[in-house]
Amino acid sequence: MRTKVVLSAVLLGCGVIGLATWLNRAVIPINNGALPETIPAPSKGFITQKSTRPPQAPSRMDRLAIPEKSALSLAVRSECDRIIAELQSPEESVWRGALEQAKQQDRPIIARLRQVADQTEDPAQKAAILDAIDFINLPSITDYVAGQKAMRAAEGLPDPPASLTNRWTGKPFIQPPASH
Amino acid sequence: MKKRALNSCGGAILLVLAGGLVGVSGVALHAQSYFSYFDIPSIVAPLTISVTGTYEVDKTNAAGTVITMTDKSVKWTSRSVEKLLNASLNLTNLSSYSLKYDQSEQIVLMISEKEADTNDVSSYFTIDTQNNVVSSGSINLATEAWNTTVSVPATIAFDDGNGDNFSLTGIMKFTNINGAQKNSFGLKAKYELASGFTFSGTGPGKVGGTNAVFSGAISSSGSATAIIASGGGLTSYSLIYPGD
Repeated sequence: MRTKVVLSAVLLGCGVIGLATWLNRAVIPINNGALPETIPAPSKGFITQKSTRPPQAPSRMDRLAIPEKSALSLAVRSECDRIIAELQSPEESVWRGALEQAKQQDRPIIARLRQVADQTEDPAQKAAILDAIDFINLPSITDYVAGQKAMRAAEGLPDPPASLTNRWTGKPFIQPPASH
Repeated sequence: MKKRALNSCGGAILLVLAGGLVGVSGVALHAQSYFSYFDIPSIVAPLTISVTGTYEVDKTNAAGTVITMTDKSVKWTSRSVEKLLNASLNLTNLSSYSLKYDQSEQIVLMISEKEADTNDVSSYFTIDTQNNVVSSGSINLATEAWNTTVSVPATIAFDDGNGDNFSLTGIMKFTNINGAQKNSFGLKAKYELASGFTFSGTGPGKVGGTNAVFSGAISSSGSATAIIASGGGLTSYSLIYPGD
């Protein structure tokens, strides 16, 4: 009699454990489906993925910290990039316009202009680019004027008097208001 | 993914715009007829200068028996002309100023960034065109869209008053494009305009007071959106330049 009771209790216990196991299996898919947006614990895969990410671009604050001179040279570089890109346009009006813009730049753009000249198969475009390079290489009128002024100063000579009238129109120069 | 979502959103907006255009087409024609009574709004665009001045330098040998003549060249760019001008204008913060050409007034200006300060420098820098004009291109009278190029003899002259000057004569090609009316709502009409000129010429001048010969190119081009607004018996237009 006692044996029967013990056996029944063991069977009942096994039944409870079996039921609990079944219930647990049944609940797992429900939990998986119900909690897809919970934040997963960092896995090995996640850590590996993070470590292979490319270096990030400077944040806005980092960019603001760039000295003004560097920001200026970045702007010049981006202007040069635009000019070089437009020089490679098949449309003549576009590349000729870009060439006029290139002539406004300083000498550092020359190396890139030479590369475009080497690559172009259009003899007219190549000649135009080489002409532009010659132009950029010329001394500026302002450098010439400054040189003349320095030479006069070294010799103790005064600057020549300024003209009051325009050589071509014969009309007097109109000075803007002094408050600038 | 975000871009796709934006694109589909833009498509929806385009559909709405298209529906709106169909709905107000009669009003659009009304606004367009107002536009006929107005000159095309002008564009004030940067002036690009690339001119070469060639002058002569003479040297006599020690014995005074041989004179050697050498030609030398200097470049004149927009920036250098601005600097020459500033010897007279005395603008502070010159780097914020640039030379621009007002196509309507046909005058050259020195304008600061954001147009806070405008100086008429037409007593130093002149652009004169003659009357004999040759045009090419087309004008659509129904849509008021056009694409024309006008060739005209022109003289562009500069004098800084300190012995640096040039006067170039050549052919100026003036291009003017007006896209067809793009959209309109109520009594407003919107036009996309692009115009400018290219010029190449040769002529005399001086470099530092020395006689010189000049050749080169000068150009200016820009674009703008004209908005024509009518209401209460008044019609006006305003320009929106790229970057405003």
